[in-house]
Amino acid sequence: MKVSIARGELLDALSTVSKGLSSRTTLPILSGIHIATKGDMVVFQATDLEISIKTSCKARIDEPGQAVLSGRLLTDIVRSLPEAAVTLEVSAGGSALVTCGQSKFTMKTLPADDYPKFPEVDPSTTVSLPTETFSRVVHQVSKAVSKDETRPILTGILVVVDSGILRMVATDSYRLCVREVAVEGMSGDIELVIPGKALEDVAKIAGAAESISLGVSENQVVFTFGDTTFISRRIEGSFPNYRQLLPKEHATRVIIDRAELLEAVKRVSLMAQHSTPLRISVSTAEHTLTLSAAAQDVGEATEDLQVTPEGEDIEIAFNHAYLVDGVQVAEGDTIALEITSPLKPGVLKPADGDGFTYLLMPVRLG
Amino acid sequence: MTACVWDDLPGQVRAVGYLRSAVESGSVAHAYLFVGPTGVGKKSAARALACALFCADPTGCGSCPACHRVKNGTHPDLHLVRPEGVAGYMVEQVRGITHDVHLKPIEAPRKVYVLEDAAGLKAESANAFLKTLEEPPADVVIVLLATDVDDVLPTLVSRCHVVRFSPVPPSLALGLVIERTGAEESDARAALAAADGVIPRAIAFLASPGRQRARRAILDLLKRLAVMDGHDVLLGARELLTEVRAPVDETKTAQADELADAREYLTKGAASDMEKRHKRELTFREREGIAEIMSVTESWLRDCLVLSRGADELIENADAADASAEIASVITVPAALAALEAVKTARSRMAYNVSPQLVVEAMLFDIQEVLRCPR
Repeated sequence: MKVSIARGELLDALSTVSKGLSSRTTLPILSGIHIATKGDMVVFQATDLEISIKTSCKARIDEPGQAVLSGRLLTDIVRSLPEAAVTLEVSAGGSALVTCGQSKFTMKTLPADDYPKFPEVDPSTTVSLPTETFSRVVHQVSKAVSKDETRPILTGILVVVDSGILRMVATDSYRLCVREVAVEGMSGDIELVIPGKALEDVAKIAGAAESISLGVSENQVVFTFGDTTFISRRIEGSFPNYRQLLPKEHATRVIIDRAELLEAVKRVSLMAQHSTPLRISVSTAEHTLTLSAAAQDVGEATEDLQVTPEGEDIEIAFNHAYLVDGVQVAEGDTIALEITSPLKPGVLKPADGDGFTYLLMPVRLG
Repeated sequence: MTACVWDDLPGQVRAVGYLRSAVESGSVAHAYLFVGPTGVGKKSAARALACALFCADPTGCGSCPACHRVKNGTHPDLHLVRPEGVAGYMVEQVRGITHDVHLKPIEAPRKVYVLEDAAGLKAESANAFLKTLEEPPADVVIVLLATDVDDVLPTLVSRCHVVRFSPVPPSLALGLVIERTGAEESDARAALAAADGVIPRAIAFLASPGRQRARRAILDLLKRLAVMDGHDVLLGARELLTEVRAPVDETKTAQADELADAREYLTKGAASDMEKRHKRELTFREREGIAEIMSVTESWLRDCLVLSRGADELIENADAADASAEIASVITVPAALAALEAVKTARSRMAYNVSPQLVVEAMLFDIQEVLRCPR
């Protein structure tokens, strides 16, 4: 095989498929990127047997063929090269020559026939939506995805498309994030749980493409954007019924400037390290929300914020890191904090509208 | 080509019938525990079960692409797992399985997980596995393999359907070994004795010159044992262990090559994981080698016993018959049993992680005592 590709395009393609390389694998073949020619294109593939990524780019093909090269090494080499055409030449003897300008690299190849076949997926439903919306929603809910493998279903994000509305839900049982957006011109109905990491990866690498299509089959989910295909296995099981967790009413509602709250929470969190809760008390008479934290043997922090409260005076405590996450990804410049009682979850919402809900379990006050 | 995947399992009519009817009536359980001596076809039965579940034909046609891939071990929805630790499964290994169990299958309608040596699921790893074993997703079948129900933690057993496999009769086993290797009958008999009657291990033994050398070394030592002094015994034990380790060294070289290859492609973390796995495998191999020479010792002592009773046709080590005949002419039954007891003690010492060299030395001295005064 002998091909020439512009360095920029080659690097883009390699960084895209690199997301599919598994870092912990003990099968050398899976640390490689499969490169093959197809017409006047070069197709790149990587897989860790859970997700598979394929992308292609235009190239000058002098000699067709296929090869598997160490993904990490090749990407590092190409990244360090100057902006020019990169020639990749693979000889039958199992070595590859990478040349660009005056630089020359030779590296070993892996047997291309051993490479796992790219999965053929025949989606039963396909939905197309703007990448920007998709990535933003994924970014917002992915904070709440669980990292605990003991409840595998929670390591996924529930994705629902229903009559023009895209909804994603994630929870790690300490917090729950629901985001809903209406997408114009989107049709089709789907409901499935996708591994959170796969969605995050897609959101990261799909940046440049305008729209992204999401195909669902019995066992897999296929994302297609630009020249790239990304396939992930679905998670089994049913997602918890999150609707019954959302409180229907509240005793206190506080409208706060989001940026101000974020800064204040971060500052006070400095004293709320480890398990010390971050205490929030609302005074309706004084129109204040007081954040405080006290770490034993270390010190205390307090900060008052001017807010618009409704309802009763109340005191509640949260895990500071989870609160920061929620405020960070919330919609709108002003947000509403709704509290029912110190022992029931608090809810963060945009001050007007309800496309975003971040439910947060309280910490018992000492 | 077999017309039916279940036909490949000689001597397991009951177990096969039970599994087959479960698949055909669509009442396959979520978890099975296959129990039976090593080498009776538990793993093959698990494979046949996977075939029958993956194949469009519920009897398992044995010839469609899915069946072929199961047989070749390349089907992505059949997971064969062996313990990676010296003493059993590692918690991380179990977590990996749990993670995969909860993903949808890749191409088959179901997923099958076969865990070899379920006795290796000890407290920690078993606890990590309990929830998955109890209620896996509907399309998952988990098969645990074990030699004895009592070796497996009761918390695991109670979550599985137990399927018992009967031992393969020695004559059938002998026939199978001869059929598959083309060895002489006496060699096949000796191999089976060294391999504790386990058919695949006997076949591997016949293919390994190193392991056969180790067998000859112990037989030679036993022959001269009665006339050796203490120093000779110690030297003999040391030489014997060198022989036992020689096949292990072959593995070591192969591993070094694999690791060198791996370092070029894998991340540091993955390579060091591989190195650790290799070390565990080496320890395991060495223990297996020691167990093998103990089996040889046992079978030789048994030969002495059967010869002394005049049942000449029952001997297993025909090539060492001259030595065993000599001992047989003087040995009494209680003395032979005492010598066999010494080997049993040595085995249990190995299980307690005593250094192999010490165990072998102690065993040889114990047997020597019996042989010197065989009444």
